[in-house]
Amino acid sequence: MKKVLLFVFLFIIVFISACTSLVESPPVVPKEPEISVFREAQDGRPIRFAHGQHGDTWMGLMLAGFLEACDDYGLLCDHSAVAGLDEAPVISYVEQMTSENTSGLMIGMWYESRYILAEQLDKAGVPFVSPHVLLPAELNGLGLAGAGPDVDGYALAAGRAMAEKVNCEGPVAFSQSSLLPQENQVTEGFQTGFRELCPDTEFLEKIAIGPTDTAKAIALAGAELTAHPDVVAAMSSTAHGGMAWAKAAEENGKEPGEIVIQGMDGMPANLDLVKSGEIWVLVGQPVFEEAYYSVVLLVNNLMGFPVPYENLLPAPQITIDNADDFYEIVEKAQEAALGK
Amino acid sequence: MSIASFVEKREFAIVVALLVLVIIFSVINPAFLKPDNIFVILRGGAFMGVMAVGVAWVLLSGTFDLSSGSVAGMAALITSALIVYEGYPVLLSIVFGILCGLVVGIVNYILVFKTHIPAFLATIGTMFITRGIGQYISKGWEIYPLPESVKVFGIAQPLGISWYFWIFVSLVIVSQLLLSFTVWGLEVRATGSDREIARLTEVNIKKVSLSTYVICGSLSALSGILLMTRVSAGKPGIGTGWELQAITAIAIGGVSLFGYEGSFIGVFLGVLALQIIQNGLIVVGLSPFLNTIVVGVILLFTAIIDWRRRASLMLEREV
Repeated sequence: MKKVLLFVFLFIIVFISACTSLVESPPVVPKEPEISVFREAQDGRPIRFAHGQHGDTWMGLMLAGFLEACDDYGLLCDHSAVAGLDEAPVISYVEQMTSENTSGLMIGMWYESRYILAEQLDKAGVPFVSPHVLLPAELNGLGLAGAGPDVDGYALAAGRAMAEKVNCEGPVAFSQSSLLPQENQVTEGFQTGFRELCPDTEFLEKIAIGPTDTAKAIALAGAELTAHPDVVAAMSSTAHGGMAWAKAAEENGKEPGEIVIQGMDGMPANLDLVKSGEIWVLVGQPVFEEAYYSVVLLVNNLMGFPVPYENLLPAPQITIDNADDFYEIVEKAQEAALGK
Repeated sequence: MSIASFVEKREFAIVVALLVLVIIFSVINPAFLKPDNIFVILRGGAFMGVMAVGVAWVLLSGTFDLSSGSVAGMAALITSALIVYEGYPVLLSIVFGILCGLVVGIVNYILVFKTHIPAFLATIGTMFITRGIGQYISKGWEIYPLPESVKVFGIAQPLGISWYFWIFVSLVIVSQLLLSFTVWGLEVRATGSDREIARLTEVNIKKVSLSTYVICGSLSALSGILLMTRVSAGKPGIGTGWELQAITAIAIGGVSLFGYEGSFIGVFLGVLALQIIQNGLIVVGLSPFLNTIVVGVILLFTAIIDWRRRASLMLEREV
């Protein structure tokens, strides 16, 4: 009888989770004793997270979301912990997967080089969810789901907001870490949103500042600002880009706010710069939430419930007015990662 | 030194190459020569430059260190963790961070000279270990907030540049003086030239090598800590890839990767060359991705010159 009641309770929880999966927040986390049921369903097969950039703060936020969901659901989990941007070890990690040793995989399909893995995973019977980016059309429906922000939506909104802030003045400078498809999409969306209100504002060529070397990023942003001393606004589609523009502006003798800077992601140091007025706005990509939510989707699949293919999560704009709210999220994730 | 002997020096070729680059960039966009931009160039290379001074000492003594970038990252994270998590005073934490780099230098020396692991392999090993220690401490997170005093130091611009640049320049000057005018400097060169001959002339090779590895470890740690003060946070990415950038700058600056030959003026010019290329491509509006290609071409060019020079020297000795 207890087992039946337990099953009914569990069914309700997971059913609610499945039904609300399009809603932009993770479902209620089930408490003991349901946790053991999830682990039993795994039958010794971990849910895995294949990723590079281990040791990078941005990836740390994503990993924290993954691990917290694993902890909340009492799941057996594993992750690749590959440092750097080398894709080979990530691919190697994924290639070891079969349905016998993996109950679900989280892998961000933000590199086109990862598309080839989708077919392999499909053949191996391993369901996978992509955090941060929705599953691209090129995958022809392979994969379980994608959970990420509405990139076009937030980029357009950020572009419009910037246009209003600078009253259509220019020129506007742009930086990306490299020329990844999603970063291109963000910059193009931002420019489109800006152009809707200010069709004649001058846009400078975007510069690539690299993904990790902050010293180099500041130097490159500094070069752009000295070459174009009349820049009124700068936009970056990468996590350390906002800081690079802010520090470069500071070195060029600009007061905080003199160049209107839009950055990405509520990283701790970025939030500090928002608080000090050096960065005007950050696009708060839901890095922690999308990882957490990806695990939730894999759990739903594990329990045999339908999983929506596309799951959009909100990417709010972080300004001096609401920055404190985001410290809370980051600190919580950081404490989880540091084991405090 | 006569003009003729200066012209024959490797540094002269670098100065000429730099001037050509400066002229090209400034003709395309005169903004390149604006004081603000010059300061950006000088500021930008200081962090990696400090490390390059340390790495150059190791190369001059005829060995190798690939762990320097990771040591920079580890030291920055240890220092920031001591300040933020443990509440230690800033200066004490910085000293401890530098000491950690020094210890890695000693470990590298032991691995290379006591256990006789090739320097290339030994320092790749310590590169992974120190990067891992940094990651273990930070768990992938920025360590912040650092005290206001750190930020004040980071944004200060003495004589319009930055403390970092002046620290770099001071290290270049002191190192050049040590190399040119002390017995120890001579011993470093002798060790880098031919260890057997150096041993026969009673140079304590182990002592010399230990000292260069200790300098390299300490300065690598200092470079990472300096960037930590600039961005007011212990960032896990600090130092990533710097070891190769440093070796590139050193090679462009004329320090032979086979030891003995080179100067710290050359190291300074090599660091400056990388910054000028990086900055100039942005200022003239070319793709920054060309940066890597240009640096690669210049590095190969200098390597060929170095190889040809050594070959002709050997030929002269045989004759």
